[in-house]
Amino acid sequence: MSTAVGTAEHVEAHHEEHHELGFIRKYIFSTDHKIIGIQFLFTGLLMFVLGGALALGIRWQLAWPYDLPFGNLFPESVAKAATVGGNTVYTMGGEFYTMLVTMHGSVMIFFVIIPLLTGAFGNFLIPLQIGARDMAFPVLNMLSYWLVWPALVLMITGFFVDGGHAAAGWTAYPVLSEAQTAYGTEVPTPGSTMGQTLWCASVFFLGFASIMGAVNYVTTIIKMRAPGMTMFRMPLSTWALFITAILVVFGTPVLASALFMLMVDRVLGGTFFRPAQGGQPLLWQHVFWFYSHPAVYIMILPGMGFVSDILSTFARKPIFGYKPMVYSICAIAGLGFIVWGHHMFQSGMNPALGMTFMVSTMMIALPSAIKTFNWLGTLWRSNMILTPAMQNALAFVSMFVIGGLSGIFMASTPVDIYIHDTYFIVGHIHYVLFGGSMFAIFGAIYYWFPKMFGKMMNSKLGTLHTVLSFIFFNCTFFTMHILGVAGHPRRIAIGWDKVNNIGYEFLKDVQPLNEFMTWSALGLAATQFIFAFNLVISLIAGKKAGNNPWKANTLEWETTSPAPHGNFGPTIPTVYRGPYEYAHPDAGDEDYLPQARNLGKA
Amino acid sequence: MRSSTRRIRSISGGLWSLAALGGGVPAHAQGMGWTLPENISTFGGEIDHLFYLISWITGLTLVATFAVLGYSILKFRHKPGVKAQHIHGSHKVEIIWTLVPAGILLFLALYQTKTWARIKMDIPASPDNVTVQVFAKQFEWNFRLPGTDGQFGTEDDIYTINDLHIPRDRNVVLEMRSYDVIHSLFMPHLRYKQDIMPGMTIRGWFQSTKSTEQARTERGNPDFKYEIACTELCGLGHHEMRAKVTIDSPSDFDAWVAKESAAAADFAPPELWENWGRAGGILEIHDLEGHGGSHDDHE
Amino acid sequence: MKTRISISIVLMTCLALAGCGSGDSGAGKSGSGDSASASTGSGDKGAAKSSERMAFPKDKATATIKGKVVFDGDPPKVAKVRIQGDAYCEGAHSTPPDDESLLVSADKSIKNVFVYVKKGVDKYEFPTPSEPVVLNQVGCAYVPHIMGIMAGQKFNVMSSDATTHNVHFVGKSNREFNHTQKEGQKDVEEFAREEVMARIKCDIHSWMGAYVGVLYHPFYSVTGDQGMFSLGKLPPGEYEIEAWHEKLKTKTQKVTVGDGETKEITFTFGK
Repeated sequence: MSTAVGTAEHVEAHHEEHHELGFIRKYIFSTDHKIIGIQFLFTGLLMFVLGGALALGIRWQLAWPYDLPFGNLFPESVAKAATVGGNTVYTMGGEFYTMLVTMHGSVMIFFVIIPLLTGAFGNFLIPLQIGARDMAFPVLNMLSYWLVWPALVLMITGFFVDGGHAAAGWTAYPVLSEAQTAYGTEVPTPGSTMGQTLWCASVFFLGFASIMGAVNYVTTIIKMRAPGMTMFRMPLSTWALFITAILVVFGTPVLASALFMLMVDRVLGGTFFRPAQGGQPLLWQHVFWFYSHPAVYIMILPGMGFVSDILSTFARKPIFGYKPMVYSICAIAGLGFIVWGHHMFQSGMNPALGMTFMVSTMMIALPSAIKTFNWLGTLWRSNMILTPAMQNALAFVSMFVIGGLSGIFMASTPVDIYIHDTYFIVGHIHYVLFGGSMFAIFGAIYYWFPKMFGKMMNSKLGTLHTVLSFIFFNCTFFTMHILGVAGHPRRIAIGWDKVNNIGYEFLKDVQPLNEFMTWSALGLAATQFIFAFNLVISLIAGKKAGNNPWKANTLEWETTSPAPHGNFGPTIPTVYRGPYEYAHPDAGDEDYLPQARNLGKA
Repeated sequence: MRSSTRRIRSISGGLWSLAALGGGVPAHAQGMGWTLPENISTFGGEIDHLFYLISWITGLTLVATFAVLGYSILKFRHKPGVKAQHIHGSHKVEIIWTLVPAGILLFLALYQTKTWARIKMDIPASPDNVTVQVFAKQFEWNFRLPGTDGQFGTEDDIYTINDLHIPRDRNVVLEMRSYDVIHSLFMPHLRYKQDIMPGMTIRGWFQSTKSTEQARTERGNPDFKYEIACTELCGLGHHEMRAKVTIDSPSDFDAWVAKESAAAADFAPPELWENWGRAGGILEIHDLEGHGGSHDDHE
Repeated sequence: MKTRISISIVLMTCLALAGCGSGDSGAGKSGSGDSASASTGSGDKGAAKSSERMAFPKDKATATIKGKVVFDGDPPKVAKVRIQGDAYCEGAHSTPPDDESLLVSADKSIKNVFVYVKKGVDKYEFPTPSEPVVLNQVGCAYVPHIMGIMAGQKFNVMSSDATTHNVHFVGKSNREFNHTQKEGQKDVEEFAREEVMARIKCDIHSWMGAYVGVLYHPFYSVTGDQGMFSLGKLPPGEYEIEAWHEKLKTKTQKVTVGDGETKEITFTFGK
């Protein structure tokens, strides 16, 4: 009776729907993509809290390296008592600081941004937006979520093992990350005993979860679109998730191989990265960045897709340049595979490669620029409604512009000589990952919350959260560019300690900025409680949402809020037009024209 | 006044204010020391020039983008009963805003290759060159100069710790190795950075145009020093890996070398230098001694 | 059915990993400031298992073995240590200090030799002393340079210097530790197994070094300026005594003492 095209497994899953499922099968070990998406959402948001707490630890140390406020409340491993001039002060050792820096990056990248963008929204949106009842492989989909839990357990365990967690940076460069776990060998850093091994194992598992999800997404999008849903009628969210999934499929196995080699070196006495036995530490950097550079595009493309949908919906205007937008997404992904060397300009790799990677890296700015211009084109002569989702989308566009432009400095190899491994890079990272991805995630949550849970979020709290986040975000992270220009290195526990006069004297003038950034970061963190409060309150007592509260065009809004199991009731909608037909003259008084509306015309 | 005139005036007013801000802010920042530190490197000027060029290009792009964005948010607010412009794009506009940025980006990429080659690919040959061996280890910078005989590994070699002692106005050629993990030599005022990779000897060069004495006089600070930072996470003491660059006038430097070379015989060279040529540094030593790479001591 | 199989596979994998992953984890808090020693184990080669040891017969311990460590030949010139790279350390010394790795005085006695009972007390059980052994950092040097400690005894590491040090212990049988320390900071560590000798170094100041000998018994002594050592109050019997020096390596001697006897022995190290 279903007219959808699908695999045999899909048909079987369809049959299973007729049995009434218990609570466990419905909400815990569910194969329904919407539930899995929500599971990823909550797991990711929980880890965001952990990652944020680690970041606050970093800022705490950098602002007050001479005496940590409230240091006496923490255990010895965090803040040790020291005597300076007869007074007791609390300071953090490099052991704990390098772990904080490592784990903040690792948690945010592997457990927050990628799961939220690809796991939560990839799962939730794809079948709904293309008009399918579920993913091509629902059971594989469920496994992809549950595989996150062993990874999580391994990662959390690392905090409690002897020697502490990994402390070699989220980039885990050997030889620092290399050392073995057996006693009697020189261990280059604390955390380099069990912590680093657990880190490797955890990320290894996560990679598999990613790949399993990605395989699902690609197959579903290619094979299970509703009638009339041609590739060029898919919303940009779906396009972005599609291309991202291809990136995941091609890139993540490379990370797995890097992690595997590192584990072999650490645990089995391998020599991949050991110079004494003919190994090469640079090999890690090449293999790691070959994945990790496409990874950053994995972390931004879905956001770009969501922002396109949100902007168009609330501008009440079609996306400007839909096809160029699609081609740009493809170009970003394709070029993303040939720029990894820009992370290694100063690494000791052959400088001639510095020239080639400079050219490819400059060129990858182009499709992002095209997308930005198209967004601006969408907003020009629009009819804008500033809901919280829209505010976040606008924040994304503006912050991504800054992040992207700062990238041009790094792409320039001579300038990179100066700014590599300084706070300029950290500023860039956070503009694209927080200013970009995080604001896109906030926007996506505000936008699709009604569809997920059938309730509306509070709009006033949403605006408050977005505006405050925007202000605190810029205060915290724009300042990092100033620090970088002054030459402030990354990952150092002390810039300038003005009380004891130790540290880098050339950083004396910018040390007050470290303090300023910590206060802003605290403000940013506090603001997120507004968002958390809004989420919880809305889940419990939010206003009931109709099918299409935003009057949007894409297929997910054709069905109830929340969408039922099977997504679309007895018949899958047929698609008649593209996803952005706002302000269409044929729509009469309405300023939107859904994809699935049949106007009776040829 | 026509609404289009008003619109043009408000846009241009906005842009001029932004430009004023754009000019004023950097000037203020300079006064506060929030800019690039003083450049004393012969190739530093090229790097700074590129930095400012890119700042202008990106700055103007930023201002223009934000102006359009800000204007749109202010002017194109929702009016009930009104529909937005129903347009799907413009082929002409797409071509313009593809080709123009592509041209600028390509220009930037190609414009900089010469500077990069000059700094990182070619080491200028000159009889005046001073070669220094840099042995980076957790968490100390060790340096070795060849002494008056000009040879490394002899009795008169000069060893310094956390003090790169070099002459002004002469090329300083660095041979860099790591004793253990990856480190990175960063000298902000000399605009020089190079990651030091275990297992490799990496060569680099720079030339200073100013001496520490001159810098002290100019600043009126007798304790001023040019500094070295480690810019690759190397362990728990990464932030402690600070050092200084002592830059002498050429004659002072020659005198210092002569004096130190003569006194060198009284001191034993720091032990780590025995491992200068060893590929694996500290990890290799342990492997050679037979307790690495396996679980012999595992309980 | 298929789902049930998949779920079981996932759960079994988790269980397997939990087994592998937590095999080594200590019970301490996060970070490396733990004083919890590493796991128990039979890393001690040669010594009897603790369950087989008997109480030390204090009433019978009446003999003493003592003596001197001397150098054969002309005493080598005492080298100087170059202190550079840290303003505080440089300021702490008006002249370069002596290199403690080889200190032979004019009368040919050798300082900083670790002398201990290598064999002969293995069958006894000794209580762990409650007083700690203290290692301090003064003027960017370890004080003392050579020390002994019993397994399980508290090892207090502290710094009196107004600069950052890191105390990096590298042992073959004992767990490695590494703590950064500022002035007045203290870390308490413990060693689980016998090890003669293990190195302590500061990664920030490469001229700093110390050695610690971990034993299951308290019969050790470090020679001072006169090169003298004393291992007192042993029961009568046959003992093997070893003298260890960081540059001159080791020398062993067998000594038999009777009830109430004091034996004097000399260790001679050549060039």
